[in-house]
Amino acid sequence: MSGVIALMEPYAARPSPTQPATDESADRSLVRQAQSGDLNAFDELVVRYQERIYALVYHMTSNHEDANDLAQEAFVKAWKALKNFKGDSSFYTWVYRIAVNHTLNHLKTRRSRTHHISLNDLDFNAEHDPDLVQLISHKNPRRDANLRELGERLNAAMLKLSEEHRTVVTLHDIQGMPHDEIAQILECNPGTVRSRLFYARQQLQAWLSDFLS
Amino acid sequence: MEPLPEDRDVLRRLMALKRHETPPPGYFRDFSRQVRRRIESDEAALNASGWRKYLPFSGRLPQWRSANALIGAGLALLAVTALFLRKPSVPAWNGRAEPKAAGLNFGGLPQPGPTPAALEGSFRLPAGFAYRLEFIPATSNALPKGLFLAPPLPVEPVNWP
Repeated sequence: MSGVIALMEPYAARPSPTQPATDESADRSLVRQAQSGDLNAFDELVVRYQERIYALVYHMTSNHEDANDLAQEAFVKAWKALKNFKGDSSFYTWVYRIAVNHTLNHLKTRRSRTHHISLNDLDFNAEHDPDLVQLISHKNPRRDANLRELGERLNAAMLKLSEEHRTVVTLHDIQGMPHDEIAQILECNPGTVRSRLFYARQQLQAWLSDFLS
Repeated sequence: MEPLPEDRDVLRRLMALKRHETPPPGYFRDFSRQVRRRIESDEAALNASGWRKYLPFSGRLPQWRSANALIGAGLALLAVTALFLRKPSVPAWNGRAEPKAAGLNFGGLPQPGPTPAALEGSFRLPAGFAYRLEFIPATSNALPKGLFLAPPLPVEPVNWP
């Protein structure tokens, strides 16, 4: 176990997928233009954040069709509410909040819907990710377990979590967002984020115990 | 139960596997265009539905739609009826004089109405107004022939004692 861990680079050192890759001042300028009705400026904002918003929604729903619809709807909502955006937070945080709330509403109203586990959704890089290859070949007691099975187990475990816990895990453990930023998005205090994260991890640990011990 | 630090780290790494669940390349090529299309269609729908607020029954229920359709049909029928019953327009009248009704005959001899020359100066005709006075001669006030045609009744003389 420790050998495997030692070979892996620290989690925090990895480039976070949510780190703002774009200039915030450019965002502000685009927001101002969009607020005056410039749809092209809003297009630019959509292009900047579409992948992150899509990924957020996808990890909360485990369904690509829903993720596509909900992400687009979140941007449409953002456009409609843009006139009320005062700039107290970054556009990025604001649009994330819209997407999270929209997805949570969707999940609450459509609980009975069957989720499609994304078995075919692992990209090519996953098979070549040294960490994951090691994790499966050395750590897993069932050595014949493959990435697909692992992905399936992960998604099943995620879907067992409550929506609130899944959101926190998605934002922190998958998207690499800090507690404070998550607290801003969810409009709660960082302590709540930490406690939700702690509880969610306990549950995940129990459900994925054969991969962990 | 607090997860062991090692387990927690492995758990994080497991969760990181989900980062690889990405859509195929090119998936987002059309994404912003689709968002734009949604925005534009939403705005078009909002503009198109502006007149709906004037409907007495607004909503999506079929019976409301039927009520609106019924009201619409009634209004259309009224409009068509009004179009057919519309009176011919009366020329503008300046109120200075009233010409005698020409050609009216109340059982007497025909009363010739004023000639256009006599009317000249009594009132001003609107531009482009053309009229023609017609005098209908009444030759007799007798009953028209054959008005009371009835079969002859057999009448026998009564012999009083």
